[in-house]
Amino acid sequence: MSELQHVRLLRRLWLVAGLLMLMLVLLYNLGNSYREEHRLRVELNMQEITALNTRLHLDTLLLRHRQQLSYDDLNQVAQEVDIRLKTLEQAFAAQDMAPLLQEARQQWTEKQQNLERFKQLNAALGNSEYHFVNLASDLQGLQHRGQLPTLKIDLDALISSMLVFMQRTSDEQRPRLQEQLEALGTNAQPWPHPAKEYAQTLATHGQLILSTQQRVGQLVQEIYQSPFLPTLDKAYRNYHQQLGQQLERAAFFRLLMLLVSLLLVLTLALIMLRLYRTARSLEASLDDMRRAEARLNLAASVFDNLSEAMTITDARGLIQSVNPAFTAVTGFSEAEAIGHKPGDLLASGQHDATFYASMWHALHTTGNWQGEIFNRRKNGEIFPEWLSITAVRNAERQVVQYIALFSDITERKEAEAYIHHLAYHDPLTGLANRLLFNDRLDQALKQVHRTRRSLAVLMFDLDRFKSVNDSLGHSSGDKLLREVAQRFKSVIREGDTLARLGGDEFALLMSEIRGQTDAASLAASLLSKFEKSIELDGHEIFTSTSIGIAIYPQDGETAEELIRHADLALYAAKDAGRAAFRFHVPGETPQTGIERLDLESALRHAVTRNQLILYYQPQVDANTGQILSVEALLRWQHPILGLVPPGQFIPIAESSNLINPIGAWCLRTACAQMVAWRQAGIDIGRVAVNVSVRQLRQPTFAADVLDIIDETGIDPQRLELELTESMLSEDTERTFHIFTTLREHGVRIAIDDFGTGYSSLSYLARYPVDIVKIDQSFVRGLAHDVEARSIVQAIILLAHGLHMETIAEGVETEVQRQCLTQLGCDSLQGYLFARPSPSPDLRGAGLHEEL
Amino acid sequence: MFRIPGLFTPLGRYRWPLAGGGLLVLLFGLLLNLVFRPDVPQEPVSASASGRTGETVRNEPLLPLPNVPSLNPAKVTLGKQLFHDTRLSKDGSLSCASCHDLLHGGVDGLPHSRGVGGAEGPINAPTVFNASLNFRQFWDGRAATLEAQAAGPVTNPLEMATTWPEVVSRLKADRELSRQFDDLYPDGLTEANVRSAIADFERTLLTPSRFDRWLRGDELALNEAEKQGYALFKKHGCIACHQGVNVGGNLYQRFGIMRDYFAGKGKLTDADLGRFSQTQKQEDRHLFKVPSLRNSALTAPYFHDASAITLEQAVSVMGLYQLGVTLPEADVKAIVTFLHSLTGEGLQ
Repeated sequence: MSELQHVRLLRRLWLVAGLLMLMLVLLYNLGNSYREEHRLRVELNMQEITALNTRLHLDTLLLRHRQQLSYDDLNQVAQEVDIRLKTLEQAFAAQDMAPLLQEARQQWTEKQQNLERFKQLNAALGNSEYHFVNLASDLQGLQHRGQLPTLKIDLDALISSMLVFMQRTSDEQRPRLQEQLEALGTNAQPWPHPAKEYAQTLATHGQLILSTQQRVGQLVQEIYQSPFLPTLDKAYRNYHQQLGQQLERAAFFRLLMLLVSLLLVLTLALIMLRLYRTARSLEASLDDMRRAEARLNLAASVFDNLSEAMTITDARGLIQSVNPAFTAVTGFSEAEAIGHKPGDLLASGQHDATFYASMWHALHTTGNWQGEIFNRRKNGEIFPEWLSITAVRNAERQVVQYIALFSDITERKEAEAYIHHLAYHDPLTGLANRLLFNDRLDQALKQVHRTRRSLAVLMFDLDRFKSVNDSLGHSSGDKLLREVAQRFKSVIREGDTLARLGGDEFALLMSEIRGQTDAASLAASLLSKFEKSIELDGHEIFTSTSIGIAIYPQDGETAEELIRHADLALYAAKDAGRAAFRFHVPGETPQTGIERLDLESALRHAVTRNQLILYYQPQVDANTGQILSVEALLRWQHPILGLVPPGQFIPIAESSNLINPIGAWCLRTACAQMVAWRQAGIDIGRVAVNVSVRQLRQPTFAADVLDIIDETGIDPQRLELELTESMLSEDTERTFHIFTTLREHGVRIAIDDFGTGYSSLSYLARYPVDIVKIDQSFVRGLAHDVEARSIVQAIILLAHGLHMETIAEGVETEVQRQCLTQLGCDSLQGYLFARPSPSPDLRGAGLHEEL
Repeated sequence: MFRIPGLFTPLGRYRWPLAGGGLLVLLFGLLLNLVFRPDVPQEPVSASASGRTGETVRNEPLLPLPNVPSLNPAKVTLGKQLFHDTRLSKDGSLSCASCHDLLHGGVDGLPHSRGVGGAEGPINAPTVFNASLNFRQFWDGRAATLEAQAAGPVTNPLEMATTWPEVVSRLKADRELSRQFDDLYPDGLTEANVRSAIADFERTLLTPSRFDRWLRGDELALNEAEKQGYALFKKHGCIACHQGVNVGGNLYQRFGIMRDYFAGKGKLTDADLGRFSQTQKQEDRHLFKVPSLRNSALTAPYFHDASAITLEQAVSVMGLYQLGVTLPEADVKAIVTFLHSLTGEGLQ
């Protein structure tokens, strides 16, 4: 049975119950019209009135016969009858039987009037009878004593007749007695006092007795024979008869009542049963509802709190509901959204009709679609979103709703872009990385290939960046790189790609150039960016760059070729003395085309395979020309590459830690050679050995040097260590300690390449240094460069001031020799005197001196 | 706490159906009882005379005063208040007590009472003392009860000259009085309740006398003269009408049984017609309620027409017209002496 039927049935049952109740109330009223207390009251009062009536008669008799002298009793009884009668009337009226008593009431009123008359007349009659008897005896007394005058009547006969009359009223006697009494009154007129008064009063009383006696008797008769009580009795019987009928009716109604109440009980039982069942089914469905409600609450809570925007539309696509996230993402409130199509609100215009057509197709066939879509916010901003639409179908498989779930993926996009940026950019400088550079280069190549135009690839690094990194630490090196990158960026053209390929290695792609000049001018600007010093952690640093340039198409058609050729040009630039740019020159390139990596691995084997050799270059006294000492110069004799210049492999050795064993080898070999020369009788004052900054950084450096001295047996005073200027700025205390230790043993310390570094001359004073070596770049310019000359002069003056000797390297001409000699330089070294050689002609040098 | 496990729990969800069922069973039982209750006896019980209960110490035609009936004291107080309330008269000049002065034998001492605006009433005011013992009220007996009596003077144009609705509305304006009525009567302040309160008060106005004490056996309550007077009172026949507890007041009697009193009176008034004005029966002409002789020493002048100024005169007139004798002066005096003993003790 359905719930609706349940409810209808219940309603009908209640209606029936209500009707039955009404009937019960009605029947109760009908069945209860008879009231026991009314009947009892009537009965009681009937008994009382009967009794009172009897008392009334008795009192009347007693009063009549002077047995009772007060009328109070009679009055009281009569009054009580009156009250009882009124009570009866009320009781009858309550049963709608008041008319039954009307006759009785009328008769009682008559009886009461009779009683009143009786009282009045009886009182007077009694008085007269009393006085008549008294007066009669008085008169008879007077008569016996002869005091009465003549009597015309027989007094005795009159009195006795009167007394008889008083006992038994007789109409026949009355006229005669009246006459006689009148006669007595008249007779007594002349009588003396008191006989006259006696006789006349007696006559008056007698007359009153005659006139009243009969009436009083009649009244007593009427009172006795009053139909009041029989009438009342009759009324009472009628009352009972009607009462019986009422009782019968009431019994009938009570029977009906029983039946109706049985029906009511049945109905109520049915209702109870029905209610019980309904309650059970309600309880069950309530449980279901609670579960459903909990689910709904959960769904609503999810809907509201979902971080993803949610839109629910009807089958036509009109929005029915949106969640707070929708408002947060799109800016449209729920009120604004409801009733509109999402497309009308949000369409960005970025997608064409086919896009939407395929979306709807997917929805109609599979029931869902998801993908990335661009929409427009309320403020007009276009944003990407990941949209997922699901069609909701009813039991008949018809689409009733669409649920669209989307999230703003702007941030994701941004993150993706950032990751992309990371992948293609160098995090330190923000420049493109190698990957991006290669990519751009490929793209640019394709483009220029089409357009038949040129492009340039510039490779460059920082000169002596290693020194900075080694001496100031990596964080300073990083800062330097960032600063340099900034400076580079400021000069490049739009559309060019500047990249950091790794370490201090930079590359620049000039995607379109008119010719070499474009590249050259840019390279020049790059170089010029280093004219200003760089402030780095309190140090003022001068650095420079060397640039290698390769041009498409003449220097290569592929990216690899262009990069390699630019690299080679870079090395060439470095070889040429740094702080310069070089275009790739095809002839310059070794056919094999060495890669740095190959060089490094080759170098590793160089030590063990005895490919390293030491060349010696003499150093002569500027004034005498006598060979004072030799400098040991490292050379790598590669079986394929031939003699590799130190400018190419020393940096590799330094960056790969090979410098330590190589340095140790150099020192040991040089010392051993020195000892060998002594033993051969060739007396050379000293041997100078170059020491790398990395070697110096070794904690055991001083001890290692002393060990080698002991090992080779060289006189320490014949050993000179050449260190570069940059070492002076690094860990000064330790360096100072090393210098001091070595000098105590007699080892001389020389500063190489002096004047090129960033250290100022003032550094020199702090260290225990024996000799300062003037860089060849100054020597080269001596002849024509006034500035160079003054610098050299300043160095020599300073060194002498500090009790240091000076030596100039790279002396190639006589002019230079003379100039240096004039300036007071102590020693000279260069091609002018002797080229470096594995076995130098030391005597020759000495000869030259002798010349 | 003290729940016995398992006693209530099984009922559980069946509690209401069970309770409903129990209720139905109860209802059904009640109905059965109603339908099959034993019938009442149908025949009337035969009437039987009840015994007489009278208490008279001396076997005399006169009876001693009963005790004051026990009534609601609050109603009596209220009645007393109303008895003295002038709002019961038209112009607020008169109360019941104006003509029934409780300090002067319950009468005003005037031949005819003065009404509102100095109007002269038609008849001599009877005393309010012991009025409750009269079988009817007024000279012509037209009121069966004190309540009915109280209605009369209020509306009589020659007396208080107002109407009951007026009186009731005037009294209702008195909040306090209204509240008193509301407290004492279910229907509050109504004409009937005003009259009932006054009547209740009047029922307490009983005046026990020395004669009552004598009747109850106190031989010393009366002196010899009074006893002698009482004997003459009986001997001359006064006792024929003036008997009972109120020494009269329990029947109607013709004024002038032995001699026509009104024949020599000249112009007759309506009041002289007596009970005739109520019944219109010739038999009732000049019939009056026999007045009570209690406190008669205080209620001069006498008779309905106040024709007797002194009690002696009244006794003489009674002897002449009612008994047909000229009472000797000594006898009159003796009877008057007796009559004085009927005065309520404390009223003199």
